[in-house]
Amino acid sequence: MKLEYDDKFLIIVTLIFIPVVLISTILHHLFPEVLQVPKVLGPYFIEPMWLDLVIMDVITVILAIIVIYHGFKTQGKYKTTCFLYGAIIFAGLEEVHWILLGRYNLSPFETYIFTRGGLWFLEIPIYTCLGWFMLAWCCNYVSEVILPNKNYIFHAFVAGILAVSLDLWIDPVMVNLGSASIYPNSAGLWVWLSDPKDTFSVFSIPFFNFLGWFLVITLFLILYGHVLNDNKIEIHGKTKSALIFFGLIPVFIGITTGILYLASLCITPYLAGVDLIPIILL
Amino acid sequence: MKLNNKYIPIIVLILFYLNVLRSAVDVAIAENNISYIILGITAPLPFLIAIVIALIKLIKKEN
Repeated sequence: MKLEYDDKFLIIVTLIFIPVVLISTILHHLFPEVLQVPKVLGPYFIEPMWLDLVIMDVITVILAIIVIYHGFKTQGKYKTTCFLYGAIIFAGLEEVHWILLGRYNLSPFETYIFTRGGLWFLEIPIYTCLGWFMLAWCCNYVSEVILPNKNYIFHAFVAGILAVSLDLWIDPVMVNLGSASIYPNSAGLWVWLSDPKDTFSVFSIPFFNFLGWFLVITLFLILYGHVLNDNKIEIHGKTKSALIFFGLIPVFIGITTGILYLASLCITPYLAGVDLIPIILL
Repeated sequence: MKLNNKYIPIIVLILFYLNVLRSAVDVAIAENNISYIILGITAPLPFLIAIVIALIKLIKKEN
């Protein structure tokens, strides 16, 4: 059987990705001291804990496969592969960088940690990475359907707004999910370590989280729409286009980080300690 | 019945929303605080409206 270019591309990128996940997962579970993983109990709903972790990962992977299938049918294997791994790398590295900067005191403020996960990509659970992929793909699709005559930049902005509007609810719920856990003293799915007095919050969640969500989704979709449109792929060829796309991801992560720092410098001095609509008062 | 491909992203988003809703109900019961449910109807309004519009457009296109 002779494999086509798109199949080979999918297999090669997946073969690069799998060892990263395996090493990250082994490091996280068996050698947590290497990356100084904090010992925080996450929320669990069934016993034993490992079964809870497996079920969550399996459900997320099944949903991601359904979205990948949609991608194969509508945009082809090559572009879907780029989108899948591009979203995982973009959002994953952006989150890992904030988590590790906070953990090693390299950021002016403490950031956050994830409390539970089966498979890990660096310091991010796989369900989060796949969640980013699915949200970016599906929100972009919805914005294309409701505004068919606009360009990819407009679609990216709309998708960013849709994703943030959902996260305005996701974050307060997931951060407090520990209260519904079967184990006492469980934390949420992720924990914000920053002192509320030092940050501007919305629904008791740091505002920069929502800004980060918007920037990650929007900038990733702009990068994807700009580099991987059919005309440019025809000009550069598939291999070169993929190299440009993945090569530009660190640049766009830098832009995202720069905007977040700039916003922090501009907003924090004036609004630190403000909690716009605390969740408890709703 | 064959599921049309074009509905897949919307179905996934609805499942995503329902999953968060399930968690929100759990937290609301545990903390005896209905805010988590109220927030689920108000904050993601742009998201919910966009899904409904997209669904209507796709169904109209099909007919």
